[in-house]
Amino acid sequence: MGEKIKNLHSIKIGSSELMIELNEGSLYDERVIHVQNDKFRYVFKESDFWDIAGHVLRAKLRLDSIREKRAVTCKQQKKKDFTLPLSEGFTKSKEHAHELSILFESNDVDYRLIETGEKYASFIIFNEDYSKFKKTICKGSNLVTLEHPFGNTFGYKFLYKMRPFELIKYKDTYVEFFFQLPCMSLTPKTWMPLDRKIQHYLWSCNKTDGDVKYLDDIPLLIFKICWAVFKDGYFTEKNIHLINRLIREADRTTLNSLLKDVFFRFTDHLTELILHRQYDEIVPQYFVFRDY
Amino acid sequence: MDDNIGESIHIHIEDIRIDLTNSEFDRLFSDICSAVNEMIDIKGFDCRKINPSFLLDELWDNLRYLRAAKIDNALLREMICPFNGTYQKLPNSNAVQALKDNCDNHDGSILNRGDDQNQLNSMLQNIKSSGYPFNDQYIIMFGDDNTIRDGTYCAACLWHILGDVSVPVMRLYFDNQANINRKAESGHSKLCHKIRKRTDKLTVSRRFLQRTSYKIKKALYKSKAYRCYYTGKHKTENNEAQEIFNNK
Repeated sequence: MGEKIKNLHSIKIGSSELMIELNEGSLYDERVIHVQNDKFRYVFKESDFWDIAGHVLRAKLRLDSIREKRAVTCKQQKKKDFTLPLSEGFTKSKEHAHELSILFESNDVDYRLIETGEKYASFIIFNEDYSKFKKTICKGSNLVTLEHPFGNTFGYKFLYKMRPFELIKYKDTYVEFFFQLPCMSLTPKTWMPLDRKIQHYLWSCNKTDGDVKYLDDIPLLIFKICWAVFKDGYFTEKNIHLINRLIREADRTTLNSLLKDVFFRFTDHLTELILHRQYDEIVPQYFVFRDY
Repeated sequence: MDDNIGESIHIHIEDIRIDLTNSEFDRLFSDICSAVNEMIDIKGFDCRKINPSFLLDELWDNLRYLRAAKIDNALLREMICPFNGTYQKLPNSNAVQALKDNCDNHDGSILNRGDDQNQLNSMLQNIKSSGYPFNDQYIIMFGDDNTIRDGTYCAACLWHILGDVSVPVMRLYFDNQANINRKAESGHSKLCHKIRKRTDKLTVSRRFLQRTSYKIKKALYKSKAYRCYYTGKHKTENNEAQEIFNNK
C-alpha cells in the first residue's frame, strides 16, 4: 500500500500480537497505519487512527471515572432503611397472593411467588404462559391494571426482547409480575434478563407451601443479590437477614456456578464477603474490581 | 462497554468487534499511548504525562501539528489565567482569591466552569504531599505565551504555597500556532458566554419564562407518565405503587 516509515508499537489482542506500522499513503493523500501480523492486516488512514486512538483513551478515562464515582457513591449512599413492623397490610398481602396463586393454578399458568411485603407481592410468570396469564387477569374480579413504576411508561427500557413488568391491584395489594428474572443494567433505566441458565434453573425447581409455589432459595438469593448490587446500590437490613438465612442452607456449588454468569471472577469475592457478613463492602468492591 | 461494569470491553470498528478483558484493555490503552508518542516523536513529549481531559478535549486534534515540547521555567507572577472571556494575572486570579479567603465560605461560583472548591482544595493537598509536578503533569503553555492552557488550579496552589517564584512548565510548539491560539480563545469564550447566559437570570424576561413554562406544561401533559402521576384515572393507585415499589 505504501512505503513503510516505521513501526510505532505492538499491541496484543487475545493471544495475537499485532504491530502498528506507519506507512506513506499511496491511495490516500495522507499517511496510512497498518495494524497487522503475518495473517491479518487492517488499514487506517492516519486521521482515522487518530480518531480511534482518541476514542480508546477517552473510553479508558470514562471507565476509570465511572468506577471511582460508583464506588464512592455506593459508599455514601445509605438510604434510611424502610423496615415496617408486621402489620395488617403484610398479612393481607400474603392472603391475596395466595388467592392469586390458586387462580393461576386453576388456569394452568405456571408461576412462582417471589415475595410478599407490606401491601405488595411479586410473582414471576412462565413467559410461554403469557397469553393464559393475560386471560386470567382479564377475567378476574377485583383486579385493576396499573402502570408498573419500573416499566416502559416511566422511561425504563427492556433489552434482549425481555417482556416488560406488569402491575395490578388486587383488592388492597399491589402485585407485580415479572416474566423473566430481571437485573438492572448499569446503563441507567435499563432492565435485562438474568442469564438463561438461571432462568431455566428457576423453572426446574420450586418450594411449595400448601398450594402455593414459591421461588426456590437459590434463584431467590441470586435475584436479591443482583437487585441489591445493580438496582439499589446497597443491601437493606431486610435483604441481609434473608440472604443470611438462605445462604446457610443453599447448595454453594450450584449457587456459585449460577452467580458466575452474573459476576464472573468477582463471584468468589462476593461469596466470601457474604459469608463474612461484610455487606457494606460488596458494592464498592464490585465497582473497583478489575481482575476479570 | 459491555452491559456490566466492564468485565468485558468491546471495541466496535465498523463490522469488527474486539473483545477484551479489563487487563487487556488497560494494556491496549498503554500500547496506544506508546504508539501515539512514537508517531509524534517529539523529545520530551509523553501523552501519559498530560491531564487526560485536557489531552483529549483541547489538544488531541492538534497533536499531529506538534513540533516541539520543552520544559521551561516561568515566573508565577507572569502567568495569565483565562476566566470568563477575560484574562487575569495569576496573583489576581479568582483561583488564588478562593485559596486566600476561607475555603469553607466559598460556594465555588467565583471559580471557572462551575468547578467547586473541593477540586481546588484537593489539588492543594496533593501538591503539599507529593510536590510539583503532581503525577508528572506540568502546567501547560502554548509557544512562548504565558497563558496557562492547563493547570490553572495547580499554578494557583503553587502561588499560594511558594509565592513569587519560578516553576517548571511544559511549553508546546505547534506548526499552526496562530490557529491554535485563536481556537483555544474562541472555544473558551463560547463556553464562558454559555455559563454567563445561564447564570444571568436577571436578564430573562417574564414573558420568556411564561412561554417556556407553558411549553413545558404542554409537553408534560402529553407524557403518559405525567398523566399517570397527576391526572389519570388511577393516579392515586399509581402514586401509591410508586412509593411502595421504590421503597420495598
